[in-house]
Amino acid sequence: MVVWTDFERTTIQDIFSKMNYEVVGQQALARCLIVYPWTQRYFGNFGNLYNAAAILGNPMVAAHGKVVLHGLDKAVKNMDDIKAAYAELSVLHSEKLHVDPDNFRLLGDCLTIVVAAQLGAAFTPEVQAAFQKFLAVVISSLRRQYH
Amino acid sequence: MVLSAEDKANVKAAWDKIGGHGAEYGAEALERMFVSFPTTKTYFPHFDLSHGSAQIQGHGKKVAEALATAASHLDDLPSALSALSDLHAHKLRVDPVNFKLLSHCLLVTLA
Repeated sequence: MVVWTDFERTTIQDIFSKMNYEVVGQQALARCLIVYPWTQRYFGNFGNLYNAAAILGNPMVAAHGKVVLHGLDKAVKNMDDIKAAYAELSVLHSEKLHVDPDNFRLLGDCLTIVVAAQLGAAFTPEVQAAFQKFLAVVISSLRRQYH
Repeated sequence: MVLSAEDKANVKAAWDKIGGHGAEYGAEALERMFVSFPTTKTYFPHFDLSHGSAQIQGHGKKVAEALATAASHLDDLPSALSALSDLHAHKLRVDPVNFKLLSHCLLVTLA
């Protein structure tokens, strides 16, 4: 069972309550597809992903970025049992989408970078640590149903 | 992994923007790494790792200088960094997974 300090809880709730899901979701997913091009393998039907400009302008990427962030919402609202909250999503990613779990970390890293850019100096090392811990728990919950 | 001409241009441009702040960013990246990924502290039992410590500042400067060397030898990274590679592998024996953690924290610092 994950133990959250008050600081960690408040920090996570705070970051997500102030976040612009459309912008951050799109930016994080676009960066992931650009910086780690093999992740594009999961988005064969997204149309034009041929270069950074195309990816950044692609409306399907933007829409899906938003979907992913709203998925994270579920974790934010159920911080005391993310494992259970994510059981279905885990099955989806493993059985249906067949995503290599290592890619969760890559997307998480890109998301951290986008959030850091948005928050600037407010993204202190302590705030970053809380965010990294949150993402680590999310990723671990997503990995659970893989066998 | 090969750097394309565009990659090299991007790295040079980004490095130029860092200007004289290399040491400061190096220290911040180290501090972020120690806070977010506490296992990395195991490599520095002899350091004072508190916020603003002189040792972190000094080490941040070393890291930045090494990165500057790398940035000016993009056509020849393996030999430019071979001494550092030997140091980290044979003397310091750092698990290479930690290099990714520090580079992620450097990206966060720059962001």
